Amino acid sequence: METILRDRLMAAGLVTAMNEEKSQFLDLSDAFFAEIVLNDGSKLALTEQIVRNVKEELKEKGVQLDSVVRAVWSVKDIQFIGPARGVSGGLRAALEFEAVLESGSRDRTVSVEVTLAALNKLREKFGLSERVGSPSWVREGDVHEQTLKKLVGEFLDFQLSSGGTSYWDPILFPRRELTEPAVSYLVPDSKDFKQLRAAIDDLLGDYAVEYSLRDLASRNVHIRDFERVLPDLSSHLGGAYKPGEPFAVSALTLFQALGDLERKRLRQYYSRKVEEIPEELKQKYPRIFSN
Amino acid sequence: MPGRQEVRHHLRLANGFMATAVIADDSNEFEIRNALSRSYYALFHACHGWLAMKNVPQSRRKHRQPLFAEIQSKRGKEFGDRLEGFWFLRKKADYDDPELFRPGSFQGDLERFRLSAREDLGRVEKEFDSYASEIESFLESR
Repeated sequence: METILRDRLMAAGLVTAMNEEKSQFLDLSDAFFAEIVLNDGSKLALTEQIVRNVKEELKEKGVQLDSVVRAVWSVKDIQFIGPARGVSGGLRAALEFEAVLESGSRDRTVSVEVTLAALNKLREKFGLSERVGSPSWVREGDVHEQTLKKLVGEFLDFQLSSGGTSYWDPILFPRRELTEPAVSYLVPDSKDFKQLRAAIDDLLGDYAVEYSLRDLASRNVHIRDFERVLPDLSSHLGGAYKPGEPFAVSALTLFQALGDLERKRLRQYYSRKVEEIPEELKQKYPRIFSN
Repeated sequence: MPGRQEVRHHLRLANGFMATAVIADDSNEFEIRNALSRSYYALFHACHGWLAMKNVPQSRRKHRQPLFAEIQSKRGKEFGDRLEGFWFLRKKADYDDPELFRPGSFQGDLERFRLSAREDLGRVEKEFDSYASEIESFLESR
């Protein structure tokens, strides 16, 4: 199958346009699979025709060939357009960016919408908690336009890195949405931050919160005093340790290893979790909640 | 056909195994080997969950090689190549006795082995995140 396809592509002068590193020919359990990846998007139509012809010929012989023909695209330019608008012209809860992609001698303009949920996630990650929930983006005091453009670029690179049958065809589908899960992947929290956040969830979670409050009350520790509560998080950290031995990592060590932004975010996260403690428990231990 | 329950099951195992793949400052040789091995199996389950999400039946991903081939056909050659690399890393962690001590490797230097293993673990985690984030997005969307 590979030989047939290569011979046909060579006859059409297309083998030199093939990206050998990304192209592949597989024998799957019930069919053959060919992925022809081109370095020049202007050759797509001709290549697709050749592959279609081979598929038909093989089908007549009872051989199934599944295929993908795609091009390698790179991001050439990104521009911020402004608030996204729907087909009717109404405002959408998103910011719109326009990007020019290129593949050899072919260009394609695509649109990326950064959803409000994604923007709020970014605001939270960059310690802009006062902006979280605001439906509009502002130049001063919000996530910087340059940061958003950089993120859109990384998002497009990630989308374009998918091959096989999951590849994104920017010609057929020129609109993409940058959602909150994409932000979580592109701007990941550090492992230490995730561990400490999980420890806070554990300390103040439904199962342990009353025990935690009773313990803090017995030691006269004010719950909003993050620095004094921080050591208590050590006993809520996961990871490997041998019973009877001191914890390999303390919460203080992890916290000190965080950058300024993640420390700020972790304090904000802790404050929010404290406010979420049920009212009846706050009234049961008033001293540790008093201002 | 696979359902959401199967996707959820694989994601749960994947996340659970990845959470145990920890290389601490005082991890010994076997704890490091365990972390690398577990991280591969976390990724393996993430791949299963991702393919189930794409409605690939279990019969077509029952063993490692067909699973890798399905990933390669659906995500591209580079994803398949990286999976092979991580599988090989797992094999070394689980079986290669002289790996740590062979001349030219770490020559018994546990600290160097730990640093190298942490870099490898970081690469597996990054790959894992690319599957897990898409699965989580899928499970949240309906």
